[in-house]
Amino acid sequence: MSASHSVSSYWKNRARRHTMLMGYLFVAPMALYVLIVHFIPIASSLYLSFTDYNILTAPKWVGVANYVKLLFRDDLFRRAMRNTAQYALEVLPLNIAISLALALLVNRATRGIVIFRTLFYLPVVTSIIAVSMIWLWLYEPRSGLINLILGKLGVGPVNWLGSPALALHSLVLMRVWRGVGWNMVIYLAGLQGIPQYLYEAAEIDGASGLGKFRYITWPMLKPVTYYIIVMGLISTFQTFGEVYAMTGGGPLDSTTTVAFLVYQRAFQYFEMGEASAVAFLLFGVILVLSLVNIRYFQTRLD
Amino acid sequence: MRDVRQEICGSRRWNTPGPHSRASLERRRARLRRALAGAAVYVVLAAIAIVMAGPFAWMLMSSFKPNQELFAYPPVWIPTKITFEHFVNAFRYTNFARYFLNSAVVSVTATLLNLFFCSLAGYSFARLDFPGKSLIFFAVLATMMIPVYVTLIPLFILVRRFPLAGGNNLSGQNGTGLINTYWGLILPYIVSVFGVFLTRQFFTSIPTEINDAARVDGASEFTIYSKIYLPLSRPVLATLAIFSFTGVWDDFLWPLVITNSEHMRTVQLGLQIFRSQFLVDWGPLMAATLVVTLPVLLIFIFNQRHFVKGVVTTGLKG
Amino acid sequence: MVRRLVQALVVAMLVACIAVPGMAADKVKINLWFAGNPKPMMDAVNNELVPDFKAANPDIDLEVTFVPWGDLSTKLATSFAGGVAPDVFMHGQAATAGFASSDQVEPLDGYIAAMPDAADFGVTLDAGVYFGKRYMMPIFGSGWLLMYRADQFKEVGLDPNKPPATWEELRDAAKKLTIWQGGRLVREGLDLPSTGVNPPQIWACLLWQNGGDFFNQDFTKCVFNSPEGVEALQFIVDLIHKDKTTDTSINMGQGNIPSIATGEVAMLFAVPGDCAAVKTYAPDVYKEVRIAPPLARKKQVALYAFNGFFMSKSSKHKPEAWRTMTYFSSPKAIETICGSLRSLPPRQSLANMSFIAEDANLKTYVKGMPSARGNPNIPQWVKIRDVLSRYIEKAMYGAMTPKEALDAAAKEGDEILKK
Repeated sequence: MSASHSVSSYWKNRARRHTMLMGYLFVAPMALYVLIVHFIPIASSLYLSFTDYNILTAPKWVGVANYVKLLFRDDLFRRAMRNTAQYALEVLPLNIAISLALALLVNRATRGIVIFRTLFYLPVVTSIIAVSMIWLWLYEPRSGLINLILGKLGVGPVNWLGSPALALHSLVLMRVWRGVGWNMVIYLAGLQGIPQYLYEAAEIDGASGLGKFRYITWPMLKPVTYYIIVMGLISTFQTFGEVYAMTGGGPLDSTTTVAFLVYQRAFQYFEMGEASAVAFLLFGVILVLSLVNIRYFQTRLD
Repeated sequence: MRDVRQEICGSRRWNTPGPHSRASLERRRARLRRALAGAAVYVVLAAIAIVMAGPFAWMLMSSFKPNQELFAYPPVWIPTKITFEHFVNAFRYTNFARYFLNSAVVSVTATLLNLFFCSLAGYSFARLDFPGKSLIFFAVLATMMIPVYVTLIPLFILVRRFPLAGGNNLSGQNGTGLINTYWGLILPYIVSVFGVFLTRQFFTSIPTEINDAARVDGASEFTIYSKIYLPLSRPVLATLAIFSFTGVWDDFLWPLVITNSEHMRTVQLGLQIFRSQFLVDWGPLMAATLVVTLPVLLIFIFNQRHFVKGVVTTGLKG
Repeated sequence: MVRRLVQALVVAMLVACIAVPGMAADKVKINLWFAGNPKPMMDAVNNELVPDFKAANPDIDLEVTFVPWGDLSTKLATSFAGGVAPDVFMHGQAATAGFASSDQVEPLDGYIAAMPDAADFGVTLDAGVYFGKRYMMPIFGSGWLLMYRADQFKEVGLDPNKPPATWEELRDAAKKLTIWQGGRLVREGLDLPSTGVNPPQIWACLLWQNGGDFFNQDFTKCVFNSPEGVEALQFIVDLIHKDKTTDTSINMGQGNIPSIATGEVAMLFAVPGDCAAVKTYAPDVYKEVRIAPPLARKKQVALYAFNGFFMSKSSKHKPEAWRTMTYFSSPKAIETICGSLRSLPPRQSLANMSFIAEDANLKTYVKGMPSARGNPNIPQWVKIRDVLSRYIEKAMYGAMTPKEALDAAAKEGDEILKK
């Protein structure tokens, strides 16, 4: 790890000194920007998480009271954590499997492939307002399209969003539909980077299609998959839009996510201190999961 | 269908008619098998396309349907009479031309800035060695793990107190800072952390031998980055461009809080007009959403051609 | 190609920056935020009221912003925190306590006292009262009343001119109107919201009708778990689990056609905006749609709420801000705004304005106003309402009995009140 070496040890070697200076120089614009636009606001909200702050009047220091309340006396927070974890656990594997399959499927030069790629990418670009309106209608219990089709097959009616047992899964379904196009694009870009000679060599060795996937494609896509998992963790653990637009956290709190709780406490109850504390507890969870994931992939990659 | 088969077979040599020898027969069988496999792929692609694009297709149809057919039962898929009334209604009173200009200015500026700054930092993280690299990288990555709703107010205050902008003095007092300005709108999108991460991940898969060779030839790091890495990374730069543009174009929350005037609004704020507390004006909403989606789609179609390079020669099959 | 695009955009950006309308230096700038952005209201305000106001007030540079209801509190909170609050903003009466207790809005009693026609507003001026002071100029309102269909009433042998007036009649009608088909509830006799902010609103009407209330006199204790409250919730729960006239599914209707027009539900509690939705998108059905006067048990009550303008305490131009408020609460402005929204006007002189006079249903809403009651004006209301919402939902889903649910809600509510 480079971090274990001191700046002075780099300074002594001319080539390493140059690399180091260039390294800092290239990172500097981004780092300066992140410092101002991200770190300052995050540090402010970290401070606010130790206060009682109703946005309209000045914050009052309360120490760790917000954290204590959340961790020991807040059933809804615990429920939201559980919902969020379950949601992420369902969305991530589905998303990765389907988006990789789609990417492999459209990574060919056949006629009209551009059209299919575009069609698969459509859910990503359609405004969330329109998407949630359409899905609310699809999920409508009595006259929605999904139940109409199921009814023809003699199934149903399914109470998609109105049933506490199903609502979260219904949101998962919609999220996967909406999200796979995005990851498909990343996988597609990743597939471009795999050198052709590897496949040619494998063909000479008589590898089957499956063998090529297992021994070349999948290992070569590791950095991409790693990226997709980390980004997936970060985004699914902060799921808000679908909940806000479609269920409002119900029924029976079954779709209340942590990010929804943050919004609710910050801008509906004006308890910004507590909302910030929720956010930092969530931050802790995502950070730990990301680090575990990074460890796992680094040991597997190297 | 014949053209399609030629495409699937990938190369002309399969089409050269040969003598009716045993080898040629086998070749023809292989050809048939491939054609069938190709057709099967199309069936699968079409089935997925129906699921993925179904809601969008419905939206497309809806925007041309007269109101009474919008939600007729049983559902009417193909409008019996094509009408443009929803488009007219959507764009007659609202200043969508201005919203488009604003969204375009913000999205394109942000995308260009992202392409440069993200890839530059990504290159540094992937290929240059310096103390504190991992720490800086993870600290930057960690900023994405905080829900936006708790940093919204501090960021807003930062923008409002921006020194020497919008009538502010050096200490950020007296004026309104960057509120209700283009720079205020663009500020949170200038460098996206996910873009830094994305480019870093892709640069790590480029063999380091290239760097060593170039350094021996006396190329500067910036030359290696701009003349070797960037051209080699067209798919990932295309991805970054698509995502930056899409992300900024589709954002709603930041434009909502940072703009006040009609002439600063963006398209996503414009879309809200068709959805109020009690009723959703479906026809105009669908028509307007369709038009608002088009630029993002065009950016995708324009950029995705970078994903096709080399595929013909690799012949990679799933 | 790309270079061209970039060049074009740079030019466009420059043009856009220059094209920003310049502010006249000698004018007083007033920022006015409307809540909600339905197109009819925006058009009415932008095309009729604003030009009129500008002609009459050449010294004021008025900038009107329309904020969607769903994002109103986010945008307001951010701007208050950033010290750039609008001079005048619209909000629901329920927001009064929060802004007044934080000392962010100006009491209007002094201004109202000098208003020649303040009496025209009647009791609606009290909608925005906090600790005896008035903070809100009411602009438009709505109420929750029972909506039903005359044709379906006739179908099942009910008299459409005698809508349910008591709980018993309501239950009876709901039972008759319900259609079950092969184990499927095809038509709900009475649709009740089971999730979101609406369940406590419906239940509140029943609570008041039954003689109950939310809090004690000085707002230190929750009393909504009284026998009256439990009985009201039991009534709702029985409709779902015993009479099976109602279920917990979310009825969206079909797109813009409300569920009462698609025939999925026979009766529901509706606001005037729902009437407008049916009238616009299912005009044929609207001929059959009726609104019933407020229900009664021990009292005749219905929940009504008004939205109106507040003045920021931080406004640097309060006299001009008040002049703006006066204009936008004038009979002409209220008539224009209410007409565009098809909402209830707070001014008594407007009770017979044209769009109400020609619609019997809206007349019923106006006639019901003497039985109106508003939600309690305390800063903690939104939070307690959401607590109630969660527990009422639990009772409706059968996860708790009405008594258990309300007791638990009251316990949490008491803690919130203590803060």
